[in-house]
Amino acid sequence: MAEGDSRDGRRGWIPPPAEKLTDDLLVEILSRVPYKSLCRSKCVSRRWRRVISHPDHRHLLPRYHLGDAIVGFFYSDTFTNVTGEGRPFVDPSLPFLPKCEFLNVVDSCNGLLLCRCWRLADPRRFDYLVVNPATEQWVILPDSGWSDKVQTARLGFDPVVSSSHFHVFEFVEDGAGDADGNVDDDDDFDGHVKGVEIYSSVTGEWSHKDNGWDWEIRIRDEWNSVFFDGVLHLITLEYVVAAVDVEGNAWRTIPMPQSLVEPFDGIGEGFIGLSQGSLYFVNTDHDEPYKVSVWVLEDYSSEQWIGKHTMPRIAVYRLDLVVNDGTNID
Amino acid sequence: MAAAAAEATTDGGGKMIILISADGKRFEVTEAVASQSQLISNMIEDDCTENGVRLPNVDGDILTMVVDYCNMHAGDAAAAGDTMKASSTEEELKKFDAELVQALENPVLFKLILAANFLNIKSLLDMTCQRVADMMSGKTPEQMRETFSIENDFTPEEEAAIRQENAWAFDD
Repeated sequence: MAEGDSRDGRRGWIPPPAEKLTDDLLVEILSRVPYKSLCRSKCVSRRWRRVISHPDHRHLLPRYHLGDAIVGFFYSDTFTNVTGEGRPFVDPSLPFLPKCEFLNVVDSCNGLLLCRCWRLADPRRFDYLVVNPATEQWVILPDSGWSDKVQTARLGFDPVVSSSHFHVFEFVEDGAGDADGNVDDDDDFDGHVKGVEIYSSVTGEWSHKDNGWDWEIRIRDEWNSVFFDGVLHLITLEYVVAAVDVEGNAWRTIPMPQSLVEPFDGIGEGFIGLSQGSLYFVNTDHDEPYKVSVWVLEDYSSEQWIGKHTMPRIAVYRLDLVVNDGTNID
Repeated sequence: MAAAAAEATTDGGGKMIILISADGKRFEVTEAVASQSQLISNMIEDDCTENGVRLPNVDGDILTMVVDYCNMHAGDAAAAGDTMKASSTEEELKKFDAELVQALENPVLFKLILAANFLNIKSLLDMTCQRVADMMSGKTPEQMRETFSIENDFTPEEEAAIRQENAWAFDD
Protein backbone atom coordinates (compact mmCIF):
# COMPACT_ATOMS: atom_id res chain seq x y z
CA MET A 1 0.00 0.00 0.00
CA ALA A 2 2.92 2.29 0.63
CA GLU A 3 3.63 1.68 -3.03
CA GLY A 4 0.29 3.18 -4.02
CA ASP A 5 0.88 6.28 -1.91
CA SER A 6 4.37 7.00 -3.10
CA ARG A 7 3.36 6.65 -6.75
CA ASP A 8 0.76 9.36 -6.45
CA GLY A 9 2.76 12.56 -6.34
CA ARG A 10 -0.33 14.64 -7.15
CA ARG A 11 -2.12 13.89 -3.94
CA GLY A 12 -3.76 16.96 -2.53
CA TRP A 13 -3.74 18.79 -5.88
CA ILE A 14 -7.21 18.76 -7.38
CA PRO A 15 -7.54 20.43 -10.80
CA PRO A 16 -10.87 20.29 -12.68
CA PRO A 17 -11.36 16.63 -13.68
CA ALA A 18 -11.40 17.23 -17.43
CA GLU A 19 -8.05 19.02 -17.18
CA LYS A 20 -6.60 15.92 -15.58
CA LEU A 21 -7.39 13.78 -18.62
CA THR A 22 -4.06 12.65 -19.99
CA ASP A 23 -3.32 12.84 -23.70
CA ASP A 24 -3.97 9.11 -23.91
CA LEU A 25 -7.40 9.50 -22.33
CA LEU A 26 -8.23 12.41 -24.59
CA VAL A 27 -7.32 10.22 -27.58
CA GLU A 28 -9.43 7.44 -26.07
CA ILE A 29 -12.42 9.80 -26.17
CA LEU A 30 -11.67 11.48 -29.50
CA SER A 31 -11.22 8.09 -31.20
CA ARG A 32 -14.95 7.56 -30.65
CA VAL A 33 -16.33 10.78 -32.12
CA PRO A 34 -17.45 11.15 -35.74
CA TYR A 35 -14.88 12.67 -38.08
CA LYS A 36 -16.87 15.88 -38.27
CA SER A 37 -16.74 16.37 -34.50
CA LEU A 38 -13.02 15.63 -34.56
CA CYS A 39 -12.43 18.45 -37.02
CA ARG A 40 -14.43 20.81 -34.83
CA SER A 41 -12.46 19.62 -31.80
CA LYS A 42 -9.27 21.11 -33.25
CA CYS A 43 -10.76 24.52 -32.41
CA VAL A 44 -11.24 23.77 -28.72
CA SER A 45 -7.76 24.54 -27.43
CA ARG A 46 -4.09 24.46 -28.33
CA ARG A 47 -3.62 21.26 -26.40
CA TRP A 48 -6.48 19.53 -28.21
CA ARG A 49 -5.16 20.64 -31.59
CA ARG A 50 -1.71 19.33 -30.68
CA VAL A 51 -3.10 15.98 -29.51
CA ILE A 52 -5.28 15.57 -32.64
CA SER A 53 -2.47 16.51 -35.03
CA HIS A 54 0.21 14.41 -33.31
CA PRO A 55 1.55 11.77 -35.73
CA ASP A 56 1.42 9.08 -33.01
CA HIS A 57 -2.32 9.56 -32.70
CA ARG A 58 -3.16 9.57 -36.39
CA HIS A 59 -3.81 5.85 -36.59
CA LEU A 60 -6.03 5.98 -33.49
CA LEU A 61 -8.30 8.84 -34.51
CA PRO A 62 -10.98 8.86 -37.16
CA ARG A 63 -9.43 10.27 -40.27
CA TYR A 64 -10.14 10.85 -43.84
CA HIS A 65 -7.73 12.16 -46.40
CA LEU A 66 -8.70 12.17 -50.03
CA GLY A 67 -6.04 10.52 -52.11
CA ASP A 68 -4.12 9.64 -48.98
CA ALA A 69 -4.28 6.63 -46.70
CA ILE A 70 -7.18 4.20 -47.00
CA VAL A 71 -9.28 4.05 -43.86
CA GLY A 72 -11.07 0.80 -44.55
CA PHE A 73 -13.37 -1.12 -46.83
CA PHE A 74 -17.03 -1.64 -47.35
CA TYR A 75 -17.68 -5.29 -47.90
CA SER A 76 -21.25 -6.46 -48.24
CA ASP A 77 -22.98 -4.60 -45.40
CA THR A 78 -19.98 -4.31 -43.10
CA PHE A 79 -17.13 -1.86 -42.82
CA THR A 80 -13.64 -3.07 -41.91
CA ASN A 81 -10.87 -0.73 -40.87
CA VAL A 82 -7.69 -1.19 -42.83
CA THR A 83 -5.92 -1.77 -39.53
CA GLY A 84 -8.26 -4.71 -38.96
CA GLU A 85 -8.86 -3.47 -35.41
CA GLY A 86 -11.17 -1.30 -33.39
CA ARG A 87 -14.59 0.14 -33.95
CA PRO A 88 -15.37 0.66 -37.63
CA PHE A 89 -14.56 4.26 -38.60
CA VAL A 90 -17.73 4.32 -40.68
CA ASP A 91 -21.12 2.98 -39.61
CA PRO A 92 -22.01 0.82 -42.65
CA SER A 93 -25.72 1.51 -42.23
CA LEU A 94 -25.00 5.19 -43.07
CA PRO A 95 -27.51 6.35 -40.45
CA PHE A 96 -27.16 10.02 -41.41
CA LEU A 97 -28.88 9.43 -44.77
CA PRO A 98 -32.58 10.18 -45.27
CA LYS A 99 -34.94 7.30 -44.54
CA CYS A 100 -35.25 4.79 -47.37
CA GLU A 101 -37.39 1.74 -47.88
CA PHE A 102 -34.11 0.01 -48.70
CA LEU A 103 -30.57 1.23 -49.33
CA ASN A 104 -28.02 -0.39 -51.69
CA VAL A 105 -24.43 0.67 -52.02
CA VAL A 106 -23.93 0.33 -55.77
CA ASP A 107 -20.38 1.55 -56.36
CA SER A 108 -17.50 3.39 -54.74
CA CYS A 109 -14.88 5.61 -56.27
CA ASN A 110 -12.00 7.30 -54.42
CA GLY A 111 -13.88 7.59 -51.15
CA LEU A 112 -17.38 8.45 -52.40
CA LEU A 113 -20.26 5.99 -52.55
CA LEU A 114 -23.07 5.67 -55.04
CA CYS A 115 -26.26 4.33 -53.42
CA ARG A 116 -29.76 3.46 -54.50
CA CYS A 117 -32.31 4.69 -51.99
CA TRP A 118 -35.68 3.02 -52.58
CA ARG A 119 -38.40 5.56 -51.91
CA LEU A 120 -40.61 5.25 -48.87
CA ALA A 121 -43.55 6.79 -50.72
CA ASP A 122 -43.15 4.56 -53.78
CA PRO A 123 -40.96 1.53 -53.00
CA ARG A 124 -40.87 0.56 -56.67
CA ARG A 125 -38.73 3.55 -57.51
CA PHE A 126 -35.36 4.68 -56.20
CA ASP A 127 -33.17 7.76 -56.13
CA TYR A 128 -29.42 7.78 -56.56
CA LEU A 129 -27.47 9.25 -53.67
CA VAL A 130 -23.80 10.17 -53.78
CA VAL A 131 -22.39 9.97 -50.30
CA ASN A 132 -19.18 10.90 -48.56
CA PRO A 133 -19.25 8.47 -45.61
CA ALA A 134 -16.38 10.23 -43.83
CA THR A 135 -17.85 13.72 -43.81
CA GLU A 136 -21.44 12.44 -43.76
CA GLN A 137 -22.30 14.73 -46.66
CA TRP A 138 -24.60 13.47 -49.40
CA VAL A 139 -26.54 14.65 -52.42
CA ILE A 140 -29.61 13.24 -54.03
CA LEU A 141 -29.55 13.14 -57.84
CA PRO A 142 -32.51 14.16 -59.98
CA ASP A 143 -34.48 11.34 -61.56
CA SER A 144 -32.60 9.83 -64.51
CA GLY A 145 -35.85 8.75 -66.13
CA TRP A 146 -35.07 5.10 -65.29
CA SER A 147 -35.79 5.20 -61.59
CA ASP A 148 -37.89 2.03 -61.73
CA LYS A 149 -35.21 -0.08 -63.47
CA VAL A 150 -32.14 -1.48 -61.81
CA GLN A 151 -29.38 -1.18 -64.36
CA THR A 152 -25.62 -1.11 -63.99
CA ALA A 153 -24.57 2.22 -62.52
CA ARG A 154 -21.07 3.50 -61.81
CA LEU A 155 -19.54 6.50 -60.09
CA GLY A 156 -16.71 8.60 -61.51
CA PHE A 157 -14.90 10.77 -58.97
CA ASP A 158 -11.34 11.98 -59.26
CA PRO A 159 -10.29 14.17 -56.32
CA VAL A 160 -7.14 15.18 -58.18
CA VAL A 161 -9.25 16.85 -60.88
CA SER A 162 -11.96 18.21 -58.58
CA SER A 163 -12.69 17.49 -54.97
CA SER A 164 -16.32 18.54 -55.29
CA HIS A 165 -17.51 17.26 -58.67
CA PHE A 166 -18.36 13.78 -59.88
CA HIS A 167 -20.17 11.91 -62.63
CA VAL A 168 -22.61 9.02 -62.46
CA PHE A 169 -22.98 6.58 -65.35
CA GLU A 170 -26.21 4.63 -65.65
CA PHE A 171 -26.11 2.10 -68.47
CA VAL A 172 -29.35 1.58 -70.36
CA GLU A 173 -29.48 -2.17 -70.75
CA ASP A 174 -31.50 -4.22 -73.18
CA GLY A 175 -34.17 -6.24 -71.44
CA ALA A 176 -34.02 -4.37 -68.13
CA GLY A 177 -37.39 -4.86 -66.48
CA ASP A 178 -39.20 -2.28 -64.40
CA ALA A 179 -40.73 -2.97 -61.00
CA ASP A 180 -43.55 -4.93 -62.64
CA GLY A 181 -41.18 -6.93 -64.84
CA ASN A 182 -42.22 -5.05 -67.99
CA VAL A 183 -39.60 -4.51 -70.67
CA ASP A 184 -39.58 -2.68 -74.00
CA ASP A 185 -41.21 -4.74 -76.73
CA ASP A 186 -38.31 -4.44 -79.13
CA ASP A 187 -35.69 -5.68 -76.64
CA ASP A 188 -33.79 -8.95 -77.32
CA PHE A 189 -33.32 -9.62 -73.60
CA ASP A 190 -29.58 -10.23 -73.87
CA GLY A 191 -28.68 -7.32 -71.62
CA HIS A 192 -26.40 -5.46 -74.02
CA VAL A 193 -25.76 -1.78 -73.44
CA LYS A 194 -28.02 0.38 -75.60
CA GLY A 195 -26.76 3.67 -74.28
CA VAL A 196 -25.73 5.54 -71.18
CA GLU A 197 -27.23 8.26 -69.01
CA ILE A 198 -24.46 10.42 -67.57
CA TYR A 199 -25.04 12.75 -64.67
CA SER A 200 -22.64 15.62 -64.18
CA SER A 201 -22.57 17.40 -60.82
CA VAL A 202 -21.28 20.48 -62.68
CA THR A 203 -24.45 20.87 -64.75
CA GLY A 204 -26.73 19.06 -62.28
CA GLU A 205 -28.31 17.21 -65.21
CA TRP A 206 -28.40 13.81 -66.85
CA SER A 207 -27.55 13.54 -70.54
CA HIS A 208 -28.22 10.56 -72.77
CA LYS A 209 -25.78 9.05 -75.26
CA ASP A 210 -26.39 6.05 -77.50
CA ASN A 211 -23.94 3.16 -77.39
CA GLY A 212 -20.76 4.25 -79.13
CA TRP A 213 -18.87 0.98 -78.81
CA ASP A 214 -18.35 -0.90 -82.06
CA TRP A 215 -20.54 -3.81 -81.08
CA GLU A 216 -23.01 -4.92 -78.48
CA ILE A 217 -21.34 -4.99 -75.08
CA ARG A 218 -22.69 -6.74 -71.99
CA ILE A 219 -21.54 -5.78 -68.52
CA ARG A 220 -22.24 -7.32 -65.17
CA ASP A 221 -23.15 -5.41 -62.07
CA GLU A 222 -20.79 -7.43 -59.86
CA TRP A 223 -17.69 -6.72 -61.94
CA ASN A 224 -15.63 -3.77 -60.96
CA SER A 225 -14.76 -0.69 -62.92
CA VAL A 226 -11.91 1.79 -62.87
CA PHE A 227 -12.26 5.53 -63.32
CA PHE A 228 -9.30 7.69 -64.24
CA ASP A 229 -8.48 10.63 -66.51
CA GLY A 230 -12.19 11.24 -66.89
CA VAL A 231 -12.77 7.80 -68.44
CA LEU A 232 -14.72 4.88 -66.98
CA HIS A 233 -13.33 1.40 -67.73
CA LEU A 234 -15.47 -1.73 -67.43
CA ILE A 235 -14.88 -5.45 -67.73
CA THR A 236 -17.29 -7.02 -70.19
CA LEU A 237 -18.67 -10.41 -71.13
CA GLU A 238 -17.22 -9.80 -74.58
CA TYR A 239 -13.76 -10.10 -73.00
CA VAL A 240 -12.76 -6.54 -73.70
CA VAL A 241 -12.24 -3.57 -71.40
CA ALA A 242 -14.88 -1.10 -72.54
CA ALA A 243 -14.23 2.57 -71.83
CA VAL A 244 -16.38 5.69 -72.08
CA ASP A 245 -15.54 9.25 -71.04
CA VAL A 246 -17.61 11.57 -68.84
CA GLU A 247 -18.94 13.43 -71.88
CA GLY A 248 -20.10 10.21 -73.51
CA ASN A 249 -18.16 11.24 -76.62
CA ALA A 250 -15.10 8.96 -76.55
CA TRP A 251 -15.88 5.23 -76.64
CA ARG A 252 -13.17 2.59 -76.82
CA THR A 253 -12.69 -1.15 -76.38
CA ILE A 254 -9.40 -2.81 -75.44
CA PRO A 255 -9.14 -6.60 -75.95
CA MET A 256 -8.20 -8.48 -72.80
CA PRO A 257 -4.86 -10.30 -72.62
CA GLN A 258 -4.74 -14.03 -73.51
CA SER A 259 -7.17 -15.63 -75.88
CA LEU A 260 -10.74 -16.21 -74.96
CA VAL A 261 -11.00 -19.83 -73.85
CA GLU A 262 -14.38 -20.03 -72.18
CA PRO A 263 -16.64 -17.20 -73.22
CA PHE A 264 -18.79 -17.00 -70.10
CA ASP A 265 -16.31 -18.06 -67.46
CA GLY A 266 -13.43 -16.20 -69.02
CA ILE A 267 -13.21 -13.53 -66.36
CA GLY A 268 -13.93 -15.61 -63.27
CA GLU A 269 -12.70 -13.62 -60.31
CA GLY A 270 -10.75 -11.26 -62.55
CA PHE A 271 -10.73 -7.53 -62.07
CA ILE A 272 -9.15 -4.36 -63.35
CA GLY A 273 -7.27 -1.82 -61.28
CA LEU A 274 -5.22 1.33 -61.46
CA SER A 275 -1.65 1.60 -60.27
CA GLN A 276 0.86 4.34 -60.92
CA GLY A 277 -1.31 5.73 -63.68
CA SER A 278 -1.56 2.46 -65.61
CA LEU A 279 -4.46 0.10 -66.10
CA TYR A 280 -3.95 -3.41 -64.70
CA PHE A 281 -5.87 -6.61 -65.28
CA VAL A 282 -5.72 -9.52 -62.87
CA ASN A 283 -7.23 -12.89 -63.72
CA THR A 284 -6.87 -16.61 -63.41
CA ASP A 285 -4.13 -17.70 -65.79
CA HIS A 286 -5.65 -19.77 -68.60
CA ASP A 287 -2.57 -21.95 -68.85
CA GLU A 288 -2.13 -22.43 -65.10
CA PRO A 289 -5.57 -22.45 -63.47
CA TYR A 290 -4.16 -22.48 -59.93
CA LYS A 291 -2.36 -19.24 -60.48
CA VAL A 292 -3.39 -15.70 -61.14
CA SER A 293 -1.62 -13.39 -63.51
CA VAL A 294 -1.26 -9.63 -63.52
CA TRP A 295 -1.00 -7.65 -66.73
CA VAL A 296 -0.42 -3.96 -67.26
CA LEU A 297 -1.36 -1.73 -70.17
CA GLU A 298 1.82 0.35 -70.01
CA ASP A 299 1.06 2.25 -73.20
CA TYR A 300 -2.54 3.31 -72.73
CA SER A 301 -3.04 4.08 -76.40
CA SER A 302 -1.95 0.56 -77.39
CA GLU A 303 -3.66 -2.80 -76.92
CA GLN A 304 -0.47 -4.39 -75.61
CA TRP A 305 -0.96 -5.95 -72.18
CA ILE A 306 2.38 -6.83 -70.60
CA GLY A 307 2.51 -9.75 -68.16
CA LYS A 308 3.90 -8.53 -64.83
CA HIS A 309 3.54 -11.29 -62.25
CA THR A 310 2.15 -14.72 -61.69
CA MET A 311 1.28 -15.82 -58.18
CA PRO A 312 -0.63 -18.53 -56.34
CA ARG A 313 -4.37 -17.88 -56.32
CA ILE A 314 -4.60 -17.35 -52.58
CA ALA A 315 -2.86 -13.99 -52.84
CA VAL A 316 -5.42 -12.45 -55.13
CA TYR A 317 -8.17 -11.90 -52.63
CA ARG A 318 -6.26 -9.23 -50.80
CA LEU A 319 -5.52 -7.48 -54.03
CA ASP A 320 -9.14 -7.64 -55.00
CA LEU A 321 -10.27 -5.73 -51.93
CA VAL A 322 -7.64 -3.08 -52.29
CA VAL A 323 -8.23 -2.52 -55.97
CA ASN A 324 -11.98 -2.41 -55.57
CA ASP A 325 -11.47 0.54 -53.31
CA GLY A 326 -9.85 2.31 -56.20
CA THR A 327 -6.36 2.33 -54.85
CA ASN A 328 -2.93 1.18 -55.92
CA ILE A 329 -2.27 -2.51 -56.07
CA ASP A 330 1.50 -2.09 -55.82
CA MET B 1 -25.83 -0.56 -1.08
CA ALA B 2 -22.31 -1.62 -2.02
CA ALA B 3 -21.99 -3.73 1.11
CA ALA B 4 -25.34 -5.43 0.48
CA ALA B 5 -24.36 -6.30 -3.07
CA ALA B 6 -21.03 -7.65 -1.86
CA GLU B 7 -22.77 -9.98 0.61
CA ALA B 8 -24.97 -11.31 -2.13
CA THR B 9 -21.98 -12.66 -4.01
CA THR B 10 -20.01 -13.84 -0.99
CA ASP B 11 -21.07 -17.46 -1.33
CA GLY B 12 -19.48 -17.76 -4.81
CA GLY B 13 -16.86 -15.02 -4.52
CA GLY B 14 -14.48 -16.39 -1.89
CA LYS B 15 -12.09 -14.13 -0.06
CA MET B 16 -13.07 -10.54 0.77
CA ILE B 17 -10.82 -7.54 0.38
CA ILE B 18 -11.13 -3.96 1.57
CA LEU B 19 -10.87 -0.97 -0.78
CA ILE B 20 -10.11 2.38 0.85
CA SER B 21 -10.95 5.61 -0.97
CA ALA B 22 -8.97 8.85 -0.87
CA ASP B 23 -11.29 10.20 1.84
CA GLY B 24 -10.98 7.06 3.95
CA LYS B 25 -14.25 5.27 3.06
CA ARG B 26 -13.95 1.50 3.21
CA PHE B 27 -15.62 -0.95 0.83
CA GLU B 28 -15.61 -4.68 1.46
CA VAL B 29 -15.82 -6.64 -1.78
CA THR B 30 -15.08 -10.17 -2.94
CA GLU B 31 -11.89 -10.85 -4.84
CA ALA B 32 -14.03 -11.76 -7.86
CA VAL B 33 -15.62 -8.31 -7.80
CA ALA B 34 -12.37 -6.45 -7.18
CA SER B 35 -10.33 -8.30 -9.76
CA GLN B 36 -12.31 -6.74 -12.59
CA SER B 37 -9.82 -3.98 -11.96
CA GLN B 38 -6.63 -5.14 -13.63
CA LEU B 39 -4.68 -3.07 -11.10
CA ILE B 40 -6.24 -4.84 -8.10
CA SER B 41 -6.15 -8.20 -9.87
CA ASN B 42 -2.37 -7.80 -10.17
CA MET B 43 -2.17 -6.84 -6.49
CA ILE B 44 -4.17 -9.93 -5.52
CA GLU B 45 -1.77 -12.05 -7.52
CA ASP B 46 1.16 -10.39 -5.78
CA ASP B 47 -0.51 -11.05 -2.41
CA CYS B 48 -0.45 -7.46 -1.23
CA THR B 49 -4.10 -6.85 -0.38
CA GLU B 50 -3.91 -8.08 3.24
CA ASN B 51 -4.24 -4.65 4.84
CA GLY B 52 -6.75 -3.25 2.39
CA VAL B 53 -6.15 -1.51 -0.90
CA ARG B 54 -5.70 2.25 -0.62
CA LEU B 55 -6.85 4.15 -3.70
CA PRO B 56 -5.46 7.64 -3.00
CA ASN B 57 -6.82 9.24 -6.17
CA VAL B 58 -10.35 7.86 -6.12
CA ASP B 59 -12.93 9.69 -3.97
CA GLY B 60 -15.49 7.77 -1.92
CA ASP B 61 -18.46 8.83 -4.05
CA ILE B 62 -16.71 7.72 -7.24
CA LEU B 63 -15.52 4.48 -5.66
CA THR B 64 -19.12 3.79 -4.65
CA MET B 65 -20.10 3.90 -8.32
CA VAL B 66 -17.13 1.78 -9.36
CA VAL B 67 -17.92 -0.84 -6.71
CA ASP B 68 -21.60 -0.88 -7.74
CA TYR B 69 -20.54 -1.35 -11.34
CA CYS B 70 -18.11 -4.16 -10.46
CA ASN B 71 -20.69 -5.89 -8.24
CA MET B 72 -23.20 -5.89 -11.07
CA HIS B 73 -20.71 -7.21 -13.58
CA ALA B 74 -19.11 -9.78 -11.29
CA GLY B 75 -22.60 -11.21 -10.69
CA ASP B 76 -22.82 -11.75 -14.41
CA ALA B 77 -19.50 -13.58 -14.51
CA ALA B 78 -20.44 -15.80 -11.56
CA ALA B 79 -23.77 -16.73 -13.14
CA ALA B 80 -22.17 -17.55 -16.49
CA GLY B 81 -22.53 -21.30 -15.85
CA ASP B 82 -26.30 -20.97 -15.51
CA THR B 83 -27.57 -20.06 -18.96
CA MET B 84 -31.08 -19.00 -17.92
CA LYS B 85 -29.80 -16.76 -15.18
CA ALA B 86 -27.04 -15.35 -17.34
CA SER B 87 -29.42 -14.17 -20.05
CA SER B 88 -31.70 -12.35 -17.65
CA THR B 89 -28.66 -10.83 -15.98
CA GLU B 90 -27.41 -9.63 -19.34
CA GLU B 91 -30.57 -7.62 -19.86
CA GLU B 92 -30.40 -6.20 -16.35
CA LEU B 93 -26.76 -5.33 -16.90
CA LYS B 94 -27.52 -3.44 -20.08
CA LYS B 95 -30.20 -1.48 -18.27
CA PHE B 96 -27.90 -0.82 -15.33
CA ASP B 97 -25.06 0.37 -17.58
CA ALA B 98 -27.36 2.58 -19.64
CA GLU B 99 -28.86 4.20 -16.54
CA LEU B 100 -25.47 4.68 -14.92
CA VAL B 101 -23.91 6.31 -17.93
CA GLN B 102 -26.92 8.43 -18.88
CA ALA B 103 -27.03 9.97 -15.43
CA LEU B 104 -23.43 11.11 -15.61
CA GLU B 105 -22.36 14.65 -16.36
CA ASN B 106 -19.19 16.63 -15.91
CA PRO B 107 -17.42 16.55 -13.44
CA VAL B 108 -18.51 13.12 -12.13
CA LEU B 109 -18.20 11.55 -15.58
CA PHE B 110 -14.58 12.68 -15.91
CA LYS B 111 -13.76 11.53 -12.38
CA LEU B 112 -15.18 8.13 -13.28
CA ILE B 113 -13.05 8.01 -16.44
CA LEU B 114 -9.96 8.80 -14.40
CA ALA B 115 -10.87 6.13 -11.86
CA ALA B 116 -11.60 3.52 -14.55
CA ASN B 117 -8.27 4.35 -16.14
CA PHE B 118 -6.35 4.23 -12.86
CA LEU B 119 -8.00 1.01 -11.74
CA ASN B 120 -7.71 -0.33 -15.28
CA ILE B 121 -11.30 -1.51 -15.77
CA LYS B 122 -11.52 -1.60 -19.53
CA SER B 123 -15.28 -2.07 -19.94
CA LEU B 124 -16.02 0.88 -17.64
CA LEU B 125 -13.44 3.03 -19.41
CA ASP B 126 -14.93 2.14 -22.82
CA MET B 127 -18.42 2.95 -21.63
CA THR B 128 -17.57 6.29 -20.04
CA CYS B 129 -15.37 7.46 -22.92
CA GLN B 130 -18.15 6.55 -25.34
CA ARG B 131 -20.54 8.63 -23.27
CA VAL B 132 -18.29 11.69 -23.55
CA ALA B 133 -17.87 11.10 -27.30
CA ASP B 134 -21.66 10.91 -27.68
CA MET B 135 -22.01 14.15 -25.74
CA MET B 136 -19.58 15.85 -28.14
CA SER B 137 -21.48 14.86 -31.25
CA GLY B 138 -23.14 17.86 -32.92
CA LYS B 139 -21.59 20.34 -30.50
CA THR B 140 -19.75 23.49 -31.50
CA PRO B 141 -16.22 24.07 -30.17
CA GLU B 142 -17.70 26.57 -27.65
CA GLN B 143 -20.10 23.93 -26.32
CA MET B 144 -17.27 21.38 -26.17
CA ARG B 145 -15.19 23.78 -24.07
CA GLU B 146 -18.14 24.17 -21.75
CA THR B 147 -18.56 20.40 -21.44
CA PHE B 148 -14.90 19.94 -20.61
CA SER B 149 -14.45 23.22 -18.66
CA ILE B 150 -11.64 24.18 -20.98
CA GLU B 151 -10.42 27.70 -21.58
CA ASN B 152 -10.02 28.90 -25.15
CA ASP B 153 -6.32 29.74 -25.48
CA PHE B 154 -6.38 30.53 -29.21
CA THR B 155 -6.15 34.08 -30.50
CA PRO B 156 -9.23 35.01 -32.57
CA GLU B 157 -7.04 34.95 -35.70
CA GLU B 158 -5.76 31.46 -34.96
CA GLU B 159 -9.23 30.16 -34.31
CA ALA B 160 -10.53 31.71 -37.51
CA ALA B 161 -7.72 30.04 -39.47
CA ILE B 162 -8.52 26.57 -38.06
CA ARG B 163 -12.20 27.09 -38.78
CA GLN B 164 -11.32 28.06 -42.32
CA GLU B 165 -9.28 24.88 -42.83
CA ASN B 166 -12.16 22.74 -41.59
CA ALA B 167 -14.98 24.89 -42.92
CA TRP B 168 -17.15 21.95 -44.05
CA ALA B 169 -17.25 20.60 -40.49
CA PHE B 170 -18.99 23.75 -39.31
CA ASP B 171 -21.97 23.55 -41.69
CA ASP B 172 -25.06 22.39 -39.94
